[in-house]
Amino acid sequence: MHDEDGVIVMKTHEQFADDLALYALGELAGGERESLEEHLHTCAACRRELQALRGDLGLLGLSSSGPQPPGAARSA
Amino acid sequence: MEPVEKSSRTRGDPGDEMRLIARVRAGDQQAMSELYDRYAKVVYAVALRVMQDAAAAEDVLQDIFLQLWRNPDAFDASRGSLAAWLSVIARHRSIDRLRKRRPETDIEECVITSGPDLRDETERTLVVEKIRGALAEMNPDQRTALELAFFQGLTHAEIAEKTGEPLGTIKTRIRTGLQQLRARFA
Repeated sequence: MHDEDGVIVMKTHEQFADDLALYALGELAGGERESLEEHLHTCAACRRELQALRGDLGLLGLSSSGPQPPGAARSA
Repeated sequence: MEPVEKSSRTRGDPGDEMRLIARVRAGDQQAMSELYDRYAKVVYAVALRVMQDAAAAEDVLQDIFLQLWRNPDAFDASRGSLAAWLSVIARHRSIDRLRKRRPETDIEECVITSGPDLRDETERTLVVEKIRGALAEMNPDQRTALELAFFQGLTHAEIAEKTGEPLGTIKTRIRTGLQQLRARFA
């Protein structure tokens, strides 16, 4: 992959850790995304951590509370 | 969908969720109505928080349940909770709409493996209280980064700009914040 200045950067396994959370959020783009996806093909530990982070997002989503949805949506 | 009378017996049985999903797969509208009654509030709460617009949140709600009805196999019941899955799908779809972009994540690709058992309504209530407790105790900067990323859909670069923190710090706060939530259920 390339950094912002076009310099080739090789990431170590540990350096992908933060990118996994962004990937789970759907916020990793471009070269960083491609680089991580390539790494995921060969790294079972990162695949497991990605699944765990997606589960964590589910927990975060459940923290929201709000009013009952309008009845009209039910008839869809 | 016709209203479905809910019983405390069925709502408290974790296996019942899997049976309901199986019935939805078989085209049973009543089962779909019951799933809607259970989880519409979860989806709507997330969509409303992200979009800050009741009509837009309602559109997301309709869209998600319509997709679930048309493609119930998208949810893998053996791997996690429908409530958690729906909450994440609601977040992704809401942000796609806010950015006026085509859905970036197929619902089939979004696999949520949740630690705690969220299928039982009583258990789920306890889990939600625990999550809120974890968020309340979290370092405020970390909680802010998580909430801006998840509920406002800001990129890590946007969060860094908004908070004046380095990019790497924001990335790490998001990851470790999520891991802190997980640790509550380890």
